[in-house]
Parts: sequence; structure tokens; C-alpha cells
Amino acid sequence: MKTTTCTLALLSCLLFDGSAWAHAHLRAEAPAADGTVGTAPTILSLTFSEGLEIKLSGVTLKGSDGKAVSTGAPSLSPGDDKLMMVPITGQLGAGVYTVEWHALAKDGHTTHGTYQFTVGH
Amino acid sequence: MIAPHLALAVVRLCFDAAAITAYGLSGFIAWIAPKRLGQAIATSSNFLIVAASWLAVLSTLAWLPIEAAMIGESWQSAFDRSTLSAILYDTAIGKAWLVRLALSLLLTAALPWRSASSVRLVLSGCLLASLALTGHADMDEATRGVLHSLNDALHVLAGGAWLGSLLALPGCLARLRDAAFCTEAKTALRRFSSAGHLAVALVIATGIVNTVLVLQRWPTDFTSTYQMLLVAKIACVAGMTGLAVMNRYVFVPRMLTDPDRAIIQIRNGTYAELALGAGVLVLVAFIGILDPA
Repeated sequence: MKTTTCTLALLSCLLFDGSAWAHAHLRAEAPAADGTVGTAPTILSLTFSEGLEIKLSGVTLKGSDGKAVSTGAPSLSPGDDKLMMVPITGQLGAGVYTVEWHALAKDGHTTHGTYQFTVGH
Repeated sequence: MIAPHLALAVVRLCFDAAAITAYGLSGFIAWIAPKRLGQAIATSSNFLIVAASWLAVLSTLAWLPIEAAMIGESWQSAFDRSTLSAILYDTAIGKAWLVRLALSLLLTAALPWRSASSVRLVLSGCLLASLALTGHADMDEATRGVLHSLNDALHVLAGGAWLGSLLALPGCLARLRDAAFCTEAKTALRRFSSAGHLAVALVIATGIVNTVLVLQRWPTDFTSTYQMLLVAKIACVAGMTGLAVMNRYVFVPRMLTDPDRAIIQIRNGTYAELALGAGVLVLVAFIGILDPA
């Protein structure tokens, strides 16, 4: 009985492991992925599932011609270390843009991904 | 060339093994074994303590450039100065690294001081607990995060005590046949048994809390490598528990009737437990780099 209880308890406790859900996944973004906006955005907002290390996280914004649009330094929203904001300093004409993001979660795990949005019609 | 994240798993494995070895052996010598036996075990296991201390330093040193390579997604980034300094000065993992580096250097500096098992116990205990600084505990907010970190640290310390102190057990068992140490070895085994129950109970209690805080589901989705490794790990520890229970409740009572055979059986059971424990460390290292989502 004691053994069974011990084993069962151990089994459940072993579910613990270290890194569960600790990678930073992109949860929401503005402008929205695959969405279309009428006016050119001046800021990109990316919401992640985990807190970010902002100095080692960031984005590259590219036009449909593959050329990078200049962006300012990414920053975290005050009071929310899961929300990364990147000011867009370059000009965005009508067209499809690709955001390539990379994130370093607080626990040292890295993730990256891309999404697109359209400015104009 | 192996990928940086695989190198990170290897380094994590080395670090865990080193810290647990130094911690478990020092704990056994300082707390479990009576004085003379403790000195004898300290002498015979000194090479392990030296190796573990240096491995703790080396694996800590190796971690930083590997983390940089992982962030930069290439080995060229391993020694990229701006990445390294950003990790060191601007991230939580960088601060935890500095703490680990200081602790592991102190552990090595204390090596010539052979009788300083209590100091080693504290230093290596802090090294192990520092894992909680960079673990999943960070994902929680404020107070819950602090409690989670504490729980996590306690979990690692209890588990490390269980596995690490097993390394001292064969030496202790061998001395049961040595007239000069027989009484002390028996005392040590009794204490080991009590402490072992406590360590396993702590692992269980903190593990249950961790489960509630983190996972909230059973790892039954075998299409996920993460959950498969988790199940393998559970199997390893279930095996370790079974062996421990068998040693304590089947073989130890046999020492009254057939001590020679019982000692060999307990020793073999201990080696098997250590082998499974090594398996757990390998699995933990790889689970640690996987994305469960």
C-alpha cells in the first residue's frame, strides 16, 4: 500500500519538468498576421506567451521586394514583459510586408517565426 | 558540427551530474556518516569530488558561449562580444550564470580543504538550487513565481540528495565487513534510510506542487517528443523507487540471516538505481531544451 502510494505520488511529481511552457510563442500581433490595414502602421506590437529578454529579442520588417524597412529599438510595454513593441521608422507604402521575429524567453529558450500583413487594399 | 541546442543539453547534463555528485557525496560525508567513516569515505571518494568540482566550473564556462550560439543561431555567435555582453548584463539567465560561476569557483577553491564537506554541501546545494533561477519558475508572475522558485529549488535539492548520496553507498556497504568501521557503517545506513525516506517524501510533495503549477495534464500525447521523454523519465524514477524499496524492505532484513549475500544484493541494487538516475539526468537535459507546446 505504502509502495503503491509512493509510486503513484512519484509518478505524478515527475510530471514536473523544467521547461514546460517556457518557450516564448507569439500569441497576438498588430497589425494582425495575414490581415490588411488601411493606413501604414507606425508601430509593431507582438504579444508572447512568456516574458522576453528585450535586448536579445527583435524583428526584421521586410517589404515584398525583400528590402528591410528601418525600425527602432524594440521595447517592452511598461508592466508587461510579454508585449514587445517596435517602432517603424521607415516609410511603408501599399504592399505586403513580412515580419521576421526572434525572441529570447526569460529562461534562455529561443524561438523565432514570421508572419505577413498587407498595407493598402 | 552539432547544433548549439544539443551542445546546451550536453553541458546541462555535465553541470547537473557535477553538482549532484559534489552535493550528494558531501551530504553523505557531513551528515550521514559518523566522523571516522566520513573521513574514510571522503578520502576514497576524493577523486570524484575533485572531478565534480572542476566539471562544474568547466560546464558553467562552456554554457555562456553555447547560449550565445543558440541565440545567434550559429557557432560564429558563440564569441560575439555584443551578444555575450547582452546576455551577461541584460538578462536573468546572465545573472544566474554569474552566480553559478562564482559558486563553482568557490567549490573548486575549497578542494584543498578536504574536511570542508559542510562547506562543499552548502556550495553545491546552492549550485543545484540556482537551476531554479533559470527554470520554468520564471514564467509565473510575482509572488506565485517566488513560491514556484522555492518549490523548484527544494525539489532539485531533494532529488539531488537522493541520487548523489547513492554514490557513497557502495563504499559504506563495503565497510560493513571491516571490523574497524562496522558499527559506524551500520549507523550510517540507518541514517541513510531515514534521510532517504525524507528526501523521497520531499521530492513527492514538491513534485505535486510543481505539477499543479506547471503541467495540468498527463503526458499522454506520444506524438510529442517532449511528453515521450517525460514518460521515459517517469519510468526511470519509478524503477529507482522500486529498487530503493526493494533494498530497504527486502534485502536489508536479509542482513540478519545472510549478510554477505544481502550486502551484494543491496550494492547491485544501488548500482542499478544509479544507472537509472543517470538516465534521468540525460532525459532532464534533453527535456530542458525541448519545446513542450
